[in-house]
Order: sequence, then structure tokens, then C-alpha cells
Amino acid sequence: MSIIKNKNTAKAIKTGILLIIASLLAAIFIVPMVYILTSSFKSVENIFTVPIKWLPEKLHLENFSEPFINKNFGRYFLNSTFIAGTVTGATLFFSSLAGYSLSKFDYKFRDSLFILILITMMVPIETTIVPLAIVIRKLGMMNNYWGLILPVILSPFAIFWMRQFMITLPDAYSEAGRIDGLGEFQIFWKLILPLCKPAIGALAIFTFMGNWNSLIWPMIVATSDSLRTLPVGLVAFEGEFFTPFNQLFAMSVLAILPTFILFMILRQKLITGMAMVGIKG
Amino acid sequence: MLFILPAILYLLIFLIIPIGTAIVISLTKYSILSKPQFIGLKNYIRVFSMPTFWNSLQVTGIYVVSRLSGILILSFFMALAINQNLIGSKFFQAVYFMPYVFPLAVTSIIWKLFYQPFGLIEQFTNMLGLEPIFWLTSIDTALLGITITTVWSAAGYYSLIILAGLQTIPRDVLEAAEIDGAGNVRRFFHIILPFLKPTIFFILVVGTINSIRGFPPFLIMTGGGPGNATRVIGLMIYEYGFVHLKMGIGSAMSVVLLAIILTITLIQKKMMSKGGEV
Repeated sequence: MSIIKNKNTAKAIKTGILLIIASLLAAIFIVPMVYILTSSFKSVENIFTVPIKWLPEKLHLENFSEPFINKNFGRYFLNSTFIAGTVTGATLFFSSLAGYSLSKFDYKFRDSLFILILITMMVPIETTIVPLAIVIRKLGMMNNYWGLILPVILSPFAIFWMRQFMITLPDAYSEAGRIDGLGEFQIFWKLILPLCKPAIGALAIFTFMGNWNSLIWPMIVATSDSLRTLPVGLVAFEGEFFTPFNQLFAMSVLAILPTFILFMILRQKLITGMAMVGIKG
Repeated sequence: MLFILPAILYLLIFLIIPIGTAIVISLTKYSILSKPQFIGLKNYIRVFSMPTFWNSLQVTGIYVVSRLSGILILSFFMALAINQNLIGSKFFQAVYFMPYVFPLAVTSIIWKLFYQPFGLIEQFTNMLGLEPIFWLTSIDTALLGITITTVWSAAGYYSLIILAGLQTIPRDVLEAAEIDGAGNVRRFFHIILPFLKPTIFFILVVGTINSIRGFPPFLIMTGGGPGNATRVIGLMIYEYGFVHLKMGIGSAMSVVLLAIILTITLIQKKMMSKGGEV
């Protein structure tokens, strides 16, 4: 009896210690986030004070509006939304098409094509930015929306992802469609796509987040201010000589907000999806 | 057949041609202003005789190893804690994972502010009675400072992968070990770790590649400095291609980096398939 009791107390102590360490660790993650949020409402003088002032003395809401007036942040937001939105839509469409073709049709170079996709999946864009920039310049797409969108409009990973999902679907659906006299595109659009909702949903989140967060490629292509995306605009803002840090914090909060909201709503989906994906877009 | 056409065009124009171009350009002397001039392997000879290139490989290596150790330790702990089904383990999981969804550019800017004199970090080191540390402006701590930031940003994500691995360990195996009187430490080393071998391996490979790829924090937080203390290979390529406008040398470095990454991936594939047989 007493052994069991001891064991239970030992277990309770163990759980307690684990809980304390887990909470301390959580604090390392929460405290900076709280600091970012409160700093975005502070006056410039109140940001770096000793000792730290956790709460703003007065809510400086103009931190959120002034960068929209004095800087081009409204434009940056529109650009980020437009680019991430367009790329996500296009990626979903083209990768489903390609995935459908790779999984349900048989043609000569299909398998070699799939191997090629697997290989290109391992090539990170960072190793191709220099030549990619040369190609884009040759195509006359430097410093315009085409250059920002086209090179990321699809990804080998997206094709792979859709193919892997569609290959699990039984062929009976397409055959039923053919018997009913539907065209191949109608079969794809009306019968196959609705079955792919879970795969498409996860892919949509990754693609949107990846593009919303993307920095290097937009920074290379967008040489004029009006083409900058939010991360690029923020980096430029930070690089100025006299950056008002309170406004920088405020804009950072706004940049985090969309992905943060997405995360809060789709947390469980995102977490399981990310665990499956392995590599961040 | 028609359905695959956009994908083929995309792969061709934006992946195959650039990779081919990289190889061709790496054999030429080329800045945007002048026409490319064929110079054979000279760029490669230059690159390999540059002390800064070797330095950048070394910095990248130190960064990858220290970042992955940090991530493994932290994320292992996170996953074990979440797996215990403690009170609020869902909450912990969400909190740990959250920084991962932040744009890396924003995380870098914010942490740069944290490291400022009188910033958040100094407030805490003051509380611990430490002298102020010039995190990002000192040769000794700049790399560490960035590593802390990128570990913070990704540890929660890697803990998910470990958690997924932990959940594949059959309960009865762990219970049997407990009945046999195996302590926590022994259970960890003799049961949990062997079961998680493939998971850890996956993390090492993916983590290595992601760490090599992710140079925005370096660009934003230190710009490679002080001196060359944080000039990683990704940043070097970016600088040669777009700041110094030496496309030939930038491309040669890209090809070398590509070779390194493909080698790592191939080694992974080999070892993974070997692991599958055992």
C-alpha cells in the first residue's frame, strides 16, 4: 500500500516539476509577444526605459496610422495581400491539375517527370536566386508584379502534395464521369476537386503563409517602393536612420496579425499539416 | 496530358533553366553591366581561394550545429511535456508553436530591437545581475544572438515532429519497462531514443537544410558583421549576386551550395533506406 502511495506522490511531484518547467518555457515565448504588443502602443521615449515599463502610459493609437500616412504601408499591405492571394489561388489550381494528371493518367514521360519534381523539390530557391534574377530580367519582369508572382506561382512541393493525395482516390469516380459523358476537365472540376478539400485546405494555408512571410525574392524584384511587400517595407523602415521604434513595433504587429489569426482559427489543422509537411514552404 | 502543361512550363522556366544558367554563368565573368565572358573554372578557383568563403562555410557550420542542438534539446522537452497530457498541454503546444507562423523578417527585426541597449533582453540580464552584453555588435556573441532568435522561432515546430514520433511508441512497451523498474533516464535512452531514431534523423536533415537556407535573420540583424562573424553562405551568395553584382562568382557559390545540399539529401536517403531495413 505504502509503495503505491509513495509512487503516487513521486508521480505528483514529477508532474509538478514538469509543469513548472513547461510554464517557464511558455513564459519565454509569451513575454516577448506581450512586449511587442504593448510596445506598439507606447510613445518612443517609453520603449527603452530602465526599469522596463510594461504598460504604455497612454495608448498611442497613432503608431498604427502614421506609417500609413507618412509611409507607404497601405500599399505594402495591398501588395502582400494581392501577391499572396493570387499565388495561393494559382498554386492550388495548377498543382491540382498537375497532381490529377500525374496520378490518374498514363503517358510516356510521366514517371520521369515525377522523379524530376522530386529532385527539384530539394533545390531551395536561395541557391537559384542569382540565375533566377538573370532569367527574370531577360524576360523583362524585373520590378513588376509578374516578376513577383510568376516565379512562385507553383512549387514542386505543391504538385507532389496534390499527387500524393489524389493517388489515394479510387479511379471509379473518373470512370463514372466518363460514362455520364462529362468532359475530362468537368470530371476534374466537378468530381475530383471536391474530394480533395482536406489536401487543398492545408496546401492553401502553407502557400498563403509562405508567400505572406516571404522576404528575399520580393526584395530582389521590387526595386521601386510601390511594389514592396510588407516584409520588404518593414526591413526598409527598420534600416532608416531615425526609425520610430514604436511605429516599427506597430507595423510588425499588423504584419503578424493575418498569419496569427489564421493560426488561431485553424490551429489543429495547421499543426497536423505542418507535422506532415516537414519543410516550410 | 494538357493538365500537366502549366506545371512543365513552370518547372522548365523557373527551375531547370535557372539551374542551367547558374552552371553556365558560373563559368563566366558577368556583372549586369557587361556581357558575360567565358573564363572557364576561374570563378571556382577564386571562390575556393577566398578566405571569406571558407570563413562563411565555417560560420554556417557552427550555426547549423548550435542551432540544431538548441532546437533538439528544447523541442524534445516540449514534446515530452505535451505528451504527458499535463493540465493545459494544448495551451503549451499552441504557445510554443506560435512564433513559427510569424514572418521571419518580422521576428528578426523585433529581436534586433530586443537586443538593443536597454531592450528587453538587457532588462532580464540586469535582473539576473549580469553586466550588459553587446549581443549583436560583439564578435563573440553575435552568432549566438541570432541562433537564440532562430531557435525561438522554430523550436515549437520541431517539437510537433518529435511529438508525432513519440506517439508511435507503443504504450505497452513503455509500461512493460516501468514494471521492470526501468528509471526515467534509462527509459529515455533505451526505449524512447531508439524509437525516435528516424524522427531525429529527419529533423537533422530538414533542420540542416532549413538553417542553411534561412539567411534573412543574418541580413537583417547583423548584415554579416561584426567583421565576418555572422556572414553565412546564403548571405554571401546574396551579396555577390545583388550587392557587389558579381553574378559569376555568386553563381559559382550557388552551385557549390547546391552540391552541398544535394549531398546532404543523398546521404539522408541512403541512411534512411538503411534504417528501414533494420
